[in-house]
Amino acid sequence: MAETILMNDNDVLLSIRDLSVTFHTDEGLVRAVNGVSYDVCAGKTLAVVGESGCGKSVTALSVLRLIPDPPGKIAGGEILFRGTDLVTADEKYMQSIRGNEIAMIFQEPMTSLNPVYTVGDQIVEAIEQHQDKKGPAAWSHAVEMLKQVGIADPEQRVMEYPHQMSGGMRQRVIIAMSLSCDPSLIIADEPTTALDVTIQAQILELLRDLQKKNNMSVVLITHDLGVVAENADDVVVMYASRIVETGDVAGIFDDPLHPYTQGLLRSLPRVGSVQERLEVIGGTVPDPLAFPDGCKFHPRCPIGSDEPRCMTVEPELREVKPGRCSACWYTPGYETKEEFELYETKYGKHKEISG
Amino acid sequence: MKRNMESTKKYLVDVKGLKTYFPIKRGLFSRVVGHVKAVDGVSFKIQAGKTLGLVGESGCGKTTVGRTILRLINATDGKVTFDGSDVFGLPSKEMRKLRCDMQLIFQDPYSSLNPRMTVANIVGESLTAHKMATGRQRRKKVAELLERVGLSPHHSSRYPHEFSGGQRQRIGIARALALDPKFIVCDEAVSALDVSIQSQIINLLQDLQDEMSLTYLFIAHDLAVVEHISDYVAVMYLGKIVEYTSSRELYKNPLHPYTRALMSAIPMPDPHRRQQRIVLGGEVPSPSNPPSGCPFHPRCPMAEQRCSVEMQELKQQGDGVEHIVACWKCKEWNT
Amino acid sequence: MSKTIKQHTDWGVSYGEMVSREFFKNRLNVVSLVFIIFLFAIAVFAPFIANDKPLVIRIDGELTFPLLRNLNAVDYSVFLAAIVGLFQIWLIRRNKKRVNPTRRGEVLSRQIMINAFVLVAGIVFIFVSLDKRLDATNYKRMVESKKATGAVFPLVPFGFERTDLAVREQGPSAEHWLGTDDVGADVLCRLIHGSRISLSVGFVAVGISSVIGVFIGAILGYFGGKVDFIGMRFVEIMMAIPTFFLIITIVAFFPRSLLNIMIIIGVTKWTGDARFIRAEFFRLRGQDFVQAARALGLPLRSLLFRHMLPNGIAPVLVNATFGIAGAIFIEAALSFLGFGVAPPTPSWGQMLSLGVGTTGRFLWWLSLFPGLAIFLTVTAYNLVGEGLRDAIDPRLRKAA
Repeated sequence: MAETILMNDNDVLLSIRDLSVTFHTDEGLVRAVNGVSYDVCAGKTLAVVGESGCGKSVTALSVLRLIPDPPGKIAGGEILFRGTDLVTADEKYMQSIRGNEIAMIFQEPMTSLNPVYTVGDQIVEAIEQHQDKKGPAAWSHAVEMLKQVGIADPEQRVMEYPHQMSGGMRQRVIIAMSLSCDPSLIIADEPTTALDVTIQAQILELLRDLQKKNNMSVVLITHDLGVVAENADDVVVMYASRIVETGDVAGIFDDPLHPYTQGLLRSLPRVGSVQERLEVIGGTVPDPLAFPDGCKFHPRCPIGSDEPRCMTVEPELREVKPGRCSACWYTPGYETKEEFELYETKYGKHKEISG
Repeated sequence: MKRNMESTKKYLVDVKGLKTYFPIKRGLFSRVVGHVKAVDGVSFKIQAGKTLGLVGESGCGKTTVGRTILRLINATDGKVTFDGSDVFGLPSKEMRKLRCDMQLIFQDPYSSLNPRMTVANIVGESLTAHKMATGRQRRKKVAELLERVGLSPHHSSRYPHEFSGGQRQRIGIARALALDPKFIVCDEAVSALDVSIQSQIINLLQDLQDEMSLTYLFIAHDLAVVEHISDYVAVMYLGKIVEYTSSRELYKNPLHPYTRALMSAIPMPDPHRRQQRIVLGGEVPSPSNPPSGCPFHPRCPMAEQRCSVEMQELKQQGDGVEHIVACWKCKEWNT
Repeated sequence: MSKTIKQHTDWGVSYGEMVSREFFKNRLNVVSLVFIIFLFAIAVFAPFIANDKPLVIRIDGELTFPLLRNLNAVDYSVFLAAIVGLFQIWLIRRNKKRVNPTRRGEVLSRQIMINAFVLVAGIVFIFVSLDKRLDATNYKRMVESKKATGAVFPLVPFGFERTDLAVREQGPSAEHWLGTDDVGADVLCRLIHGSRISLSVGFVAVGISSVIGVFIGAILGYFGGKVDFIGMRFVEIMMAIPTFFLIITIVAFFPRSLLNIMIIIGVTKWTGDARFIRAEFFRLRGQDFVQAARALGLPLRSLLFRHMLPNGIAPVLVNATFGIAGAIFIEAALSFLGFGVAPPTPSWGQMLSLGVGTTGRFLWWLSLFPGLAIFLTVTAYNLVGEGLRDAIDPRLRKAA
């Protein structure tokens, strides 16, 4: 398996190494995450992009060991947080990490708050759990947190129930809750997908401000490439439970290496462009119970759909240029000399790729 | 569609002063204590063979507009003329006939298909009900429809749960096409799909429009998608249209402050253009208690005294292309 | 052969098949279902298992079949119903393999219609054409007095109407395996014949209540508004009445017949089903696929019965299983109190009440065995109901 993925010299806060997660279902074994490795650097935002079912959320949930077990199971690899492996850590240690060192923001602001308690109760509970503050001190801290996330009239709002608030307001409350213990890492799983664009802009701006202020790291899980472009420092692209490409945000958008990333970027409708038809990645996302052999993207790939090697041998993630990794045989610089020669003797000449 | 078609200027759909209010009931005897003004005086026309995009945030009434036009929800006031006939005035028997001509494609590919029916029944049921095809004829027609939307006729004996989201959306489209409609309301038809599938479905909708000369009302919250597929765009806020123009003009020259804010809020897939955006404060007010005057004034960066008292009517701006805006201040903004 | 197999890979897995797979995964469900099938077999073949008429007997050198000759119209109707029922189950299994899922609903409803017609017509024919025979011959005595030879008696050689005061209130013995009651009838025999009462009460009463409940619930749920407001008040009034006392009161006025009890249980127990269906219809009415059906201009009939009912019927099915158990229980309780079917027709509840004998002695075998029968049957039905609910639930969350 590929060793280092992102060539940042900054302090690595969280490092996922060769993580595999499986789910036992009635229909068979599902490999939801398959040998995924990435690093999150202190104070930076790492975006994990991919379509539904690609394993981006499962990877994040396994960092906090929140995978429902059974049916889910971390089958291998390690998750190093400040040097401690969270895969093997005991439950007590995990409790002290969850919500304290690493906080999580979920997609659905309607269901991630408990409807029978006031928002104040819920924030205070998190504070009392992890900090020394109790009673009135915790309450005033909660009010302070609500003020920080831009909720007007926080003394009043702290007494309200979730159903009295709008979606954007609830997401702010959740952010307040996750920030209340001053975490060093926030995992945001599609934090704005359920929100309107104008509210999404508010929430993302808030997250950016708070990140700068508190020097936090953020793992931003999303399917929206626009959100990635505007918020991320580094990007990990996942497809069918594996990473297909990593790099810095400018690199990924200016010079996508993997055919999947290229197709994804081309298929976006853009405001102000005059294109007649959208370019399309054909086919459908593969069924996790029946992944294709070889490269999992090959049936939809413009290069690999009839390439004997792509159909049989799965390419691993390799660094192809400084700070950029790709998992495609046809990324320039991917093949070693031996592989190049082996291929030519086995299958004949390489395919010409235009563009 | 941004294609040069001969514009015969024939309007297929003509909506005038449409209002849909939902009563708010309270107490033991369900006394009506107020109304949610979901749609509050909306007028537009759609040319045959063209696409009108309807954009707005959740709760602005865009979905209600679509369903009211199809008479799935009863209108409170207003008139909809479809192909010369008054939709709200038709007796139910003729309405059933008219339903063949106007169809609906839904947002959620999971809840929009009956889980107990096979694909062949979902797509072909209306053919039987309207006595258009039975037996072998129906099978043939269903196979044709499935092929047309990019599915295999082998799929016809399966159930919806055996398909992916994109495939389900294709089944929903095939169902809508079964009766050879003239007009289709696409209600957030691509919003719930994965990025790579979304573009497939958008292309499919465009191809179908060309082949069958369909007219679309394309309802969505994603301005980029709407701009791509529509000829004209109407921007809605709190039950009212605030701006209406051709989609290219809207992008080049948005005039209403809400449209501008909406546009600048869209995250662009370009890391070098982290723009200085207009972030709107506050949230969309409740349509049961809309603000006085212009409904946007509490969030508007340009609002002045007059805006909270009275709303400007939709007015043509400039003398070039059709571009109507409901704002007192849009001219000043422009300069 | 290979061609048919190829064709079938195109066929989807229906909701019913998924639920039944889920159901049969649980062993307890299978055991309960087997027990209920066993009970049904006993009820159907009761005259062959417990009867004082021999199967075959040679009287004066002539071979006769008194048992067959003495079967009455009810017995024949039960046999017919069992045959039609089995045939229908076989058809359903065959449909799964032979009929394309798209046409399965149509085919099934046609089959059910034909079978129901055959059943009703057959029963009418049986009752019209069959004379009532009263054969009071005591074949056992004939055998004992050597008037007849070669008699083959059923497993339990007693009739449920045959009394023998000489052996009244006797405990279990080699001859009467489960003892005798206050008039000397064999308990095992009456238990076997009583299963017919219990099972038919359950089925017919729940059938009546489900039909009423679904009908009323569907109307309230689909139309809503004022109809729903008035309808729900009526449902609430029905629910506020303590059903059991209502039944006792009504039974006191009407003749004590099994049919009356079934009808009375049926017309008082529908409120739960109505509420379930109403809630489901409220939920379904807003679902996109129902809106789509409306937009397609489908008639109301199709909307209600093709789109809404199949998606909302699951809780009613589960409730029906529990309802059968409940109805069996009510019938037993009514009979125990003496409001049930009149003797000599056997019923488990009525037998239970005989546990305190005429002399005030506690006859344990008269309490234990009928009590056990009631307990096991009710438990089996409840377990099947639980199993069904569990099998339906996860799918409900996923599919609808």
